[in-house]
Amino acid sequence: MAQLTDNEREGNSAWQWLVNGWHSLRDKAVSAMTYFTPEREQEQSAQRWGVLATDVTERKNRVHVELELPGMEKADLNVEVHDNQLLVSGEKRTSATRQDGSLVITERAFGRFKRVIALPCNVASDGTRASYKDGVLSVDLPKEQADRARSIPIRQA
Amino acid sequence: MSSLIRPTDIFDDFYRPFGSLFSQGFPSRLLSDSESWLPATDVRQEDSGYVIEMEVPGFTSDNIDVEADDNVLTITGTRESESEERKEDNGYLRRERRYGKFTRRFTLPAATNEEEVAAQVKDGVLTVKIPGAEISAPKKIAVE
Repeated sequence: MAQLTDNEREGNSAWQWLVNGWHSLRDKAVSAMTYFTPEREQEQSAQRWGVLATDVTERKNRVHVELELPGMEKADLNVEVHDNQLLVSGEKRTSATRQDGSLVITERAFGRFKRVIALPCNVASDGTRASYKDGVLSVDLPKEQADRARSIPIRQA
Repeated sequence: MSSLIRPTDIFDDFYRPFGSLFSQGFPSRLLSDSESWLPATDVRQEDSGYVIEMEVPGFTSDNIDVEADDNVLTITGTRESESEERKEDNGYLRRERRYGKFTRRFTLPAATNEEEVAAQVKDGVLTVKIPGAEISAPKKIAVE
């Protein structure tokens, strides 16, 4: 009987591990999952969902964002800043040679996409710099200076 | 059969985290940055052979390795966090990119001349061309 209880407990904690693991995996991956809308014929055969993995780092005066966007043309990328949100959109096109031959394995996603990344504070869009290298889009955003912490006095009732 | 390229280790990689489920704890093993991952890949069969396109953003020819041996093509990439600064957790608000190592293997057609396999990385996409792979016509089997 005692044996059974131990097994039960072990089973429960293993199950808890799975549940916790699944939840943190989902939390981590769900916002990176991005839908790609096919624009052309040759994009139809591609995956609809792609992972647009992003790192966001906060420094004293700036916020740095890195997005993985392999195989893009700079001209097809769009970066916009709205208050405390960074909007990255664009079209990931298939290469011209994709029509030649037949696909054996298809895992890459192609088409139009959009991702909104929440920033920790308002940023100055004028000073924002973006660069694209080795399939990684880096965006450097200076924090808005006017974003001072306001203290709200609590009035006596 | 032999002219079919297929990933040989998809299931190995998929089940590896579960293998040590009870000894190491599921969340930490599956989510740790050193855990290997599989970059998204397209494989295309052309008249001249096979073309593999693998998404490896942030990788250059310096940290990616392509090896053809005994009809197995092995692609390995290793990436560490770029600076000491990055390794510290402080300042990270979101961390979705994978660091560490990945390995992916493909079975090559038996007729492949391993000397002729060519690889190139551009804008985070690795292209491997496997020329001369003889595409055998499907054999027709008569139903008696």
